[in-house]
Amino acid sequence: MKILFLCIACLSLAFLCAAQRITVNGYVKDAASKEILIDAIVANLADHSGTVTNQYGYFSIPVKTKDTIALLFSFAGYQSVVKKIASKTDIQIEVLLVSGTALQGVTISAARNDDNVKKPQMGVIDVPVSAIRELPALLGERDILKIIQLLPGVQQGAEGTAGFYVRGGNIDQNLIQLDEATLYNPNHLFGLVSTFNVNALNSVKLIKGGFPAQYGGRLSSILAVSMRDGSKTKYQGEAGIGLLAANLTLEGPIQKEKSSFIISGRQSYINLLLQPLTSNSTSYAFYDLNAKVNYELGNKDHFFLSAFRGNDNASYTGANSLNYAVNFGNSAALLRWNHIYQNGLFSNTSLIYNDYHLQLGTSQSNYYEVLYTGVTDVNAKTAFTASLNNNHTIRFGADYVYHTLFPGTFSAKIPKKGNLLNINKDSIERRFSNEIALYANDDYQATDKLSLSYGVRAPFFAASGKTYFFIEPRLTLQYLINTQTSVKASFTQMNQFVHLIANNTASLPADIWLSSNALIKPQSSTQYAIGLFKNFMDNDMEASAEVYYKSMQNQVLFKEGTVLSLTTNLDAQLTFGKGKSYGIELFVKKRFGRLTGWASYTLSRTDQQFAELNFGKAFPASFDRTHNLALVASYQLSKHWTLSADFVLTSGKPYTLPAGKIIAYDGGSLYDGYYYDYTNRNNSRLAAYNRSDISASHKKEATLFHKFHFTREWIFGLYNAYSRDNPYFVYLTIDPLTKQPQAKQVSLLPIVPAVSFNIKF
Amino acid sequence: MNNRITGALLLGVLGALTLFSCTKDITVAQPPYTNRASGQCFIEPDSVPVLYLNATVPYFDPAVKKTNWSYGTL
Repeated sequence: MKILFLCIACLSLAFLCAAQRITVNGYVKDAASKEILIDAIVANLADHSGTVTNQYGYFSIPVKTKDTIALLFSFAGYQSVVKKIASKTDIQIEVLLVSGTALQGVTISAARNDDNVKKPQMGVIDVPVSAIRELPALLGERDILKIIQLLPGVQQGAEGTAGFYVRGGNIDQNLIQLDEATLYNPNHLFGLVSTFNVNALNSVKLIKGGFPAQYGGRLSSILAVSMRDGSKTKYQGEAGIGLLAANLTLEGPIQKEKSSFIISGRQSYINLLLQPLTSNSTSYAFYDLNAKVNYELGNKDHFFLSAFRGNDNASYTGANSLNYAVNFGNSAALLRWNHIYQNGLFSNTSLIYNDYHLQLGTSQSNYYEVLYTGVTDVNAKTAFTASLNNNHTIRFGADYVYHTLFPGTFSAKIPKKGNLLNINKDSIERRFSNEIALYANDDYQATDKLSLSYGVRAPFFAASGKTYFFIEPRLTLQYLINTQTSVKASFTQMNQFVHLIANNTASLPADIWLSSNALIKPQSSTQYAIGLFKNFMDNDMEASAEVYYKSMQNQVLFKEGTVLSLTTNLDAQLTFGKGKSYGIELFVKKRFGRLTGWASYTLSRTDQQFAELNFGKAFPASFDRTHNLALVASYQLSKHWTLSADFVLTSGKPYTLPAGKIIAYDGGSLYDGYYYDYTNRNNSRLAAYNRSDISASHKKEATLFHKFHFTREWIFGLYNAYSRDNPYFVYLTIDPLTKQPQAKQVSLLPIVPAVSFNIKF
Repeated sequence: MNNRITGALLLGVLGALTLFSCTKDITVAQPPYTNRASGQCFIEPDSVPVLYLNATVPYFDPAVKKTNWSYGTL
């Protein structure tokens, strides 16, 4: 509690410091579409102080009262603007920046964002949506999660899938949000493609350490993805067709410059490919739909209503009329209100509903069985941001979530039609819980060289009569060595109340979510990080080296030998332990010019230790990779052609290999006549993984019937360009001729060509 | 979750494996291992109990043969 009182006292002092100043606030937008610009630079030319727009395009900058104030507004790819403001009182403005593409023949020379050096934040990476559009994509489907996997400290899951692990945290320790709505399973096609439709996205930000107090609920990362608002000035659209799916995006004004809409959908047609190969025995379909409308009521209130739905449906008919069916997906709806109070105090208030479900069914003759598991959240939150003077930006707010979890239910009813039973969710086991968090955070510029971000988050959780309450201190220090170089250090404590109990087969969507209760204690982590950050060539290149150490408590796994089919009480099959991860992450990024891209290298180690597993000894986590190298480049060859490539090299995945054996005298034929002696969990590793992808895109403006102007784009790509047989898993068998043990490696994806075609109109 | 459900779970992966996967023999390094004593005892009604004593061998050791067994009766 002392920490809480200390932080409140510091924040109160900060409020008192605001005097003799006025506040200039407002939004920075694209001049053509009136779409907000996130992370645009706002600089006061008088004293070189500045800020950036937040994730809602809003900025607030306190300035000293004088005759004329000159503010520079800048954003990458846009022409900078200097606004001269003469005001003695607080003033709200709207700043419109003109895109480089709208200025033919004009060289854009914008001030470049150097937040990575000058802001007291660590482990934060913005991934430009434009970069995602240019990089190679598996089967031609552009995918933000595949790009996230190429960042330092991030480890990819199974071959080709969109799952990712951050700084030694399990996959459930990533909070993935689309417009603030949580997506518990952001995958299509068992993870080969993510549910995020790039055409509908505005920004993508990954936070993996040094978490400000407004973020919580997960131990390892926050992936914040925001949708575009849609053009407020003209109707436009995009359409594309690839090997797996077709997509269409439409947007435009509802009331010009006041409100707009965007609707974006994607539908697969994999069945057309599967049917000739599988004689109609297998079908697979997925779709996703994003929709958003917004309305500006005056210049102080802005309302948003957005919805998302993504779903997969698969079925398989085998021999003897044995049928399998799978249906899983996410839905989310969000109502959001932005309001600007006096003195530039900004609020964001949201009411969010999100749902994730998975149904698996099998049927044969009169026998039927189905598993249903899922999560439904109702979330209400409000957040305030105030810039008190040039030295303090205060954030505070409250966050409430009502979780309903469906851990897993079996039914033996026979469906009236189709392969999958429609389940009445009210009739199956549910677990309810409440999660509330209060927080406050201050970004404080103490001196010209020293700044810090400090805060506290206080989560409270209640379920099944059991309550938990924590105080989570957050601190990030930044010391500027010179204008291009800084050192930073951070300390973070996090807690997590919902847990994904990983199925030990693969990263398939059958993993079950459980909430904390008297037996399942909240996961917790403490993370320390220190790093050196440096920019080169007028901020064109940025580089960083970060060292981190993270300890994790109350990690959850299934007990050795758990067979879920024989389990009626899931909680009794769980075992709890601890984990630790440490490593160094090196990152170099080139941000502007014809050649862009980055190189990242992570050297790390992640261990877990459970009293009931591996004889109580520590063992490498299944997602531990010692070395992880990623090279990413995109080169604009000409006005029309862009080439891009990536290369990935990682250590092999740990797996458990029997170390000894003994012949079974009787009854051992099931195991090839041997009993096996397992000495250590994850005692061996698959071969190292490496892969390169390449792509080329050709973009050209065209006209149809002399009236219809559009931009068309062809994208050609090769996934795993040199067709390396990367290990997916290894299994052991006895050679029938030599009667000797033999290891066999299964590889999943060889070279996979792709072509897609897009038009923008 | 029974084997059928597990089968449904693996539907996607198996489908992809069928379409794309390849399998090859590989050489795996033998994990460090020290032989350990092993005892297997069979007790059946109306039969003499039998205890087989032996030593385990490294997993990839080709030397193990049934004729190496020693056994006795209780």
